[in-house]
Amino acid sequence: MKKGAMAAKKTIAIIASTEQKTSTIVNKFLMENYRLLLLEKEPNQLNELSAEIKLKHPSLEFEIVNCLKDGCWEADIIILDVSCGEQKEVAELIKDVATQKPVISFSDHENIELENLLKHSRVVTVVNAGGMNESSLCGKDRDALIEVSEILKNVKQSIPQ
Amino acid sequence: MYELLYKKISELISISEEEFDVCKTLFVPKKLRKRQYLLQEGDVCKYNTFVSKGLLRSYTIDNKGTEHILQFAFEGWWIGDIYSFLTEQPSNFNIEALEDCELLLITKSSMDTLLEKVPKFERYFRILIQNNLIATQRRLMGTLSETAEEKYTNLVNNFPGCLQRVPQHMIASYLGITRETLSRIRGQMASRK
Repeated sequence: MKKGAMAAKKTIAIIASTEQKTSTIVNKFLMENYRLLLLEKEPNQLNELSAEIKLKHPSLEFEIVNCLKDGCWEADIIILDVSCGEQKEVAELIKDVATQKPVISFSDHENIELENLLKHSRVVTVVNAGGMNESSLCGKDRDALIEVSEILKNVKQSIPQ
Repeated sequence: MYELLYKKISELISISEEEFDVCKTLFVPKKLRKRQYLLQEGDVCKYNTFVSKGLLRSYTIDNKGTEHILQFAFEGWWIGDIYSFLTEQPSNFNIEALEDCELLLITKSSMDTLLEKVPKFERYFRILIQNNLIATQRRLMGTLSETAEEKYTNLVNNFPGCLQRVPQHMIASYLGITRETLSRIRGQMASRK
């Protein structure tokens, strides 16, 4: 470790209903200053995506993890893109290890249900009004809103225009 | 996840289940793998960290690239950079996991909330700070006045598990001696037995 080295890398855990949704999120959050944990609910669910990432983005630090709780335990930030029906089950699995962590969800309105399911997490909903460049953020925790806003700002900078 | 924290808190203050439930909601549970960093030089230390499982070290690197280890943190210990934590200034320290760890992190604002909601934690953190001051004073005096053999003997007596868990070169760095000196001391002590 040399003097003046970069800040410690944060870890983002991504839980999504389908491999396609995970792929969409990975491509949105494609940044080399984060370490990504892609959480799969079923074994081998993300094999194709893993191969694709290694091919297209060899410098991206990521790992496939098949335990939602362990992955969220390691994570500093959690991204959740699951259906309403799955939300309760997932929240129950991760709530003990998501305490005080920013949990990002995507919706067309503030995700009050998730805020109630993860009472001690810092839930931020990315409300997509019309494409990624027009998102707004909803949530009760000011620091989490600032942190997620910074992440999204870096996303816009990293995507070629 | 919280059993050891509860045990350590209960050694210093009497705490009810309800009060501990409040405490639990304010900590960030974090798993850190061996060789990952909790804090790197230049970051602001946002968390004070309780070690539920595993082992970490905090160290600085001087201009010649030499590492200087300030402390190790075993299960049941706290670790952080108190200067950076309280002032929100960049830290000079690196905190690295020497084993896979399970940690409980608390921010300054969560700590303030905890003290407000459960005032008896003022006593708990006051005792922690007192103990830290005593340990720091003893370490400073040891550095100034003890021989290499005395430093090594005190380390082994106070932290018997460290020889098995901490690499030799890190023990030497912590004691402020060379690896060769450490090997010589260990050899001499082994031959006396």
